[in-house]
Amino acid sequence: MSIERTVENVYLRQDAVTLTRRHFWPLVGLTILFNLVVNIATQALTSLCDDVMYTEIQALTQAMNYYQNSKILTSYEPVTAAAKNLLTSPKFLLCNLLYIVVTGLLYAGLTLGHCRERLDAVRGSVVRPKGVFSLMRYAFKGWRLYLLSLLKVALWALPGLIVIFIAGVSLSAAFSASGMALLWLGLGLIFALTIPAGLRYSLAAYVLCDEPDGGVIASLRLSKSLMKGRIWQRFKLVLPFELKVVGMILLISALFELTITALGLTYNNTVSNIETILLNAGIIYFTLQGQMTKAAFYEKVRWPNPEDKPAKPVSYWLQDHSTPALPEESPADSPEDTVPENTEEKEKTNEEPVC
Amino acid sequence: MKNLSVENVYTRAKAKELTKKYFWKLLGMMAIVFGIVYAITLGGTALLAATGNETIAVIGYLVLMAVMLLVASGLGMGLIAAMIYICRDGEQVKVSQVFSRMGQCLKACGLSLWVGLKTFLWMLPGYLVVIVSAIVVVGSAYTTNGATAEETAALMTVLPLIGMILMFVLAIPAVYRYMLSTYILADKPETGVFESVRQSKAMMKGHKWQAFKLILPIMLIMYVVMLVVMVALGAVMGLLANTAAAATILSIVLVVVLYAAMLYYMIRMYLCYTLFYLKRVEEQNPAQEAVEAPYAE
Repeated sequence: MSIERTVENVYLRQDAVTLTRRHFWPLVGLTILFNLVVNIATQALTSLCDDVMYTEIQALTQAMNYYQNSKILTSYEPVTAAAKNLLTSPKFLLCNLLYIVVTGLLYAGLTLGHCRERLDAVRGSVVRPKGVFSLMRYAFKGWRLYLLSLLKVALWALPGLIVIFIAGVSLSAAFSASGMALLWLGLGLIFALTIPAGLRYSLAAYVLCDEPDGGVIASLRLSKSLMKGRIWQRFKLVLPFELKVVGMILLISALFELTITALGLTYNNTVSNIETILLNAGIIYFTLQGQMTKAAFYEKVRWPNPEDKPAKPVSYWLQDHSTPALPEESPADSPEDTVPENTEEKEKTNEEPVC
Repeated sequence: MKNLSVENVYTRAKAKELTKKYFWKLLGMMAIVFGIVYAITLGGTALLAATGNETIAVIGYLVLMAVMLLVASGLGMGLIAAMIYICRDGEQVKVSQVFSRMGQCLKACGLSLWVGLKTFLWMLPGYLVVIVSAIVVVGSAYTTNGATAEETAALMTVLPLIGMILMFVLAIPAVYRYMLSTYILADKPETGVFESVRQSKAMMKGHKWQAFKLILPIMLIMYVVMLVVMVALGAVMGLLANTAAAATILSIVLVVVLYAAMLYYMIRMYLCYTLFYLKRVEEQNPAQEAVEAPYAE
């Protein structure tokens, strides 16, 4: 990687730290709101699914209690029967499907909103915590983007998985040396292939939140073209923040252990909660810096010359520009692909959000 | 305001370029330094072991340590001087340049001892905490209202740990503060020991954190490379080392590759610090000229 890219990384990180400090509390509010909504939704879904499958869960719990109390070998059969009954029940499959779809959609929609607010911060606008809901109507598109990029990365993991499978076969046939060598090779292949693949599509979410009317596949394609020759730069970009998170976790854990031992305290719930709060605060602080760095990186890579950047992202499709346009998908694909009546501009000036 | 992180990026890139260009020469110099010191140690120890007299052996070991310190300081100063010439002028240096500062070995030894003493004084508070904690623990064990076994164990763990942390927290900035004194003496041998330390303190003001961050990426890369080499060669050894001879050969290959990687990155780190020193000198010189200018006429 050339020195210029390294220097660019240094400036991007410094700018991101400045931006994070400037918009710190709104970004924290944004993150808390994001996590709160996701947690409430997952808790609600879990409770709903528990209520729906109450009978099967009760049967399994009773069978397990009976087995633990009696400890007779034959009494394990009711446990397996109850577990089989639960796992093969249509309610279980339906509940899991509902859980995956609802949390996936929610997560995708909120992530797009989060990305949009971060880009606004990079572009000098105000960050609004409620902006996390601004792109909820594109949740399905965001979810499709996430699944498609996950599939692409998973395909890159295949060679490594095949080698690990062969390693497993070697190990089971008592070829321990070759098995272990193949296992390391497989793991190495997985890391070596999936990390660049993941980084290649890392800008797709930003492309989509910047131009939500564009297509999913086109977003992935644009991300791939923008990341060409910049994968290693992107990998090194947030490494310092990740190392700081690891260092901070080790330091706080060590300090807590030291304090507990010095004061003769016991590791109870209160101490554990305080430690968790401190750790989360530190993780949030460095994670925000990392996220802002990625947003600044996208802005730098997408618009290397600030003069080329269109004034209004919504009107991007109407302007003459050198960057390849994202072709729109066919209108029949999904309801949210139709151009909404309320544009992003109207949303920003409205007192109340559209979502 | 100058961007110190960007300066570090350029310093590391330049050090990488110079390492590639002068690697074998610098490796030869380091081999001479380590080789001579090792030979003196081995030879001296063997000689002293041959003497039957304990008193002579003790005096002999003290003399041997003093000789080793003198020789190592002189040779180390020569190595640093060679690195300074490489980084400053890019001039062709010979491997024999490592002996160029042997005439100042006494001064170099004095500098090492003075810097060592100053650093040790910064570590004193930490040492005092460790000693006090030991006294408190031993004392509490002997008094009638002595602490329980758990409390004693806790104190024995925590207080020395606090002392050690204090030692590191105070000693590391001190180490960086006096870091450039060796480079100043190697560059200008006419400078005195105290003057070198004073100049180093002035040069490092506001740059200690920068110096700390300068070699962090190189150290990280070094550890990752060594880990990868160990895993890869270990896997190969597992596959191919069917006989004792093959295992020995592969072990030797592993050790050689690891040392080569370590030396490569060590040379890069030394060159980074040399370039860092030259940058500080460059910064200081315009400042000094600005001060002297009104008095020039």
